[in-house]
Amino acid sequence: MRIKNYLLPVCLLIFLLSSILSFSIDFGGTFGNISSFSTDEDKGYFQYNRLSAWLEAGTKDKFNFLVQGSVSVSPNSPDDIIFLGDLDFLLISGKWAIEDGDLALFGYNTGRFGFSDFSYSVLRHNADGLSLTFTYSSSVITFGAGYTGFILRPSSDIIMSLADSDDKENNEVWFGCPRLVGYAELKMPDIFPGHTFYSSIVFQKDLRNEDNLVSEGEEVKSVDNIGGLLDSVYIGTGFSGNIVSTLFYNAYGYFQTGRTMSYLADESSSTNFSYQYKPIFAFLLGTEFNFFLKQALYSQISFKFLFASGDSDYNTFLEGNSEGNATMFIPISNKIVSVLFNPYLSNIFLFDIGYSIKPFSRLGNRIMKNFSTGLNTIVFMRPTEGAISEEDLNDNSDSRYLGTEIDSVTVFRPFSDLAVSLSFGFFIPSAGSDKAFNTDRKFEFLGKLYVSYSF
Amino acid sequence: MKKYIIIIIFTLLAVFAYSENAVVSSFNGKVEVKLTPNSSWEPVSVNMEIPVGAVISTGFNSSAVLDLGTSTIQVKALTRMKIEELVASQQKLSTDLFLNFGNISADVEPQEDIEHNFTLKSPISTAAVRGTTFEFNTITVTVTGGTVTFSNLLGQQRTVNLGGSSRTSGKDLPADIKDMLTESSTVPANTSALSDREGIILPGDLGPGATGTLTITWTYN
Repeated sequence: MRIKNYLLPVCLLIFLLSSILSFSIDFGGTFGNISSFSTDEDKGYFQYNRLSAWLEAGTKDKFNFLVQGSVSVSPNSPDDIIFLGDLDFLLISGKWAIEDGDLALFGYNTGRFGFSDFSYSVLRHNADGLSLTFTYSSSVITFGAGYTGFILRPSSDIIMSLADSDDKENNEVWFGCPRLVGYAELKMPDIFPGHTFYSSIVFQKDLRNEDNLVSEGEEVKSVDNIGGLLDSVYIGTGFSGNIVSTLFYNAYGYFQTGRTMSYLADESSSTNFSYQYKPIFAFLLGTEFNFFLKQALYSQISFKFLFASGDSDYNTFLEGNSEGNATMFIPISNKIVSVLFNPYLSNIFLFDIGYSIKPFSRLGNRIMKNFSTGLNTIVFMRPTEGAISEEDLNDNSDSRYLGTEIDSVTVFRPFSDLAVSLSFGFFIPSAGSDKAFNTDRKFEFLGKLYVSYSF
Repeated sequence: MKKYIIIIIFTLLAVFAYSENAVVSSFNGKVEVKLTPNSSWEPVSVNMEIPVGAVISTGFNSSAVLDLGTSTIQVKALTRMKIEELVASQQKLSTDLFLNFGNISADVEPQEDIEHNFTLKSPISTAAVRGTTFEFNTITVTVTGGTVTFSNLLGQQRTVNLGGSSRTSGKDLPADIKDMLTESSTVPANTSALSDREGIILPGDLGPGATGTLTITWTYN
């Protein structure tokens, strides 16, 4: 008998079971398009199109299943990946209400989903793993652990070691770096009226095969630019809340420890140098103030400060420690802080002042009210004369000022399922014979046009 | 003798702690009240007294203003609200309302030397105030004066100050006030229905503040 003879009864059975078991099914998708043009010979003009489709099913409480896959097409992509299909996330989650004792709710996530710390400055990346959440009336405690080695290389943004960087550029490598990431986080909302307390421990363990890496004690510097393992632990705490009326603050700090391979002076070596694992002692500080003026066309004024410690002995960004302990802060994933210039939060401190407005929000027009525009000015500096993640640094300069960027971001969303975003970034580097960048680094302009449509 | 002492005590309590009624100050459109659980719906009138236990209901394009002595409640259209407690004593006022569905706006006057516990509950949340003006629609509270303590079914709370708002679905932590203000002040560029889901990082989502994934790069020489 033909399949179509069973189709209607199967559909009716699914509908009936869904109704009886309170089992819901939902699906949708998003299409995104970006067009770009560059006078840079390496980039030129290219199109990027991405189609994502998701399916959600479950009872909405104890069991929920969510999966999304995507296909991207980029005919003249600069990294030669024209066609890419990927599993974006596959999440099985649930929550149980607990009626005995102080524990009120127990929740779990498992599968491929996002792992992040409370500040987004240390970790914000997909991984395959598990997280458990214990909710009390005055606190929320979360534990999570995941593996990043099954994420496809183009979708993996973790670059912490020379081996990670080498694999990222190698088209024959299929998957991203193999790391075990995990965290334990305590969140106490309204610990004081209007203020929230955070505390977390984040870790990552490098799971690469050491046989393919430099070994401790080797005396000759690797000509293939191969390094060693990099493991790290981050201990952080923070507060956020309301100062007065609609003025808010967010302040946090992280201490990093771990180990990184270093090529250091060694009197016992035949070359007077050798590879040694040295401990990492670094820190990150961040603070942010936001002031909201809803009555002034939903204006928002923001001020941000970020400080990531550096190391004057680092001669390269990745595993560049050349003397003593490593004091450069190395996050697990990079936090995007601007439109154009986005160095890793390592040996960087920045000030960001921004203003945004919804100029048509009071017109009463339902379509035009979803139009916002904003301007940011970001000043970049480095705490030490050591390396940062950007190229073209002037080796003969100890200047701390790196440059200033001015960003403009405009978003128009006439309908809930259609949005257009136009962003411009102007980066003015500090370049010259005695400046942070060498004279090759010029004024840069960057534009982004992004169209998103959901169905 | 003991019996007389008990009677005196209860009489004194009745004097110093008595149940009040709400009064309909004004209304428009179709507004009805159910005075007891077994009574039928009847239309309200100006200056009508609404006792504790009564349920008030407003229709489409209708509203009513209730005077509760030290607080005023505007019951907006398509709303059903029950008066659960209205007790006043020399040093304490207790007002307890239950909002089944709909939207209300409340103006609670602060009282000197009197403790006023004003609580507005819904099936999924609780707003507790002392001298404030706010709006509440069972899920979201918006404060236009004073401070509101907003709780979910698990007892987790947020303090919402002037100009702020918070919301909860019942078992989710009441939303951070700053996140609510950011949501109203910005327009997200990613239209995916999953963009605000906890634990989901969308492809090309470059984090807070970013708007796209690819670049048009001009290098000006």
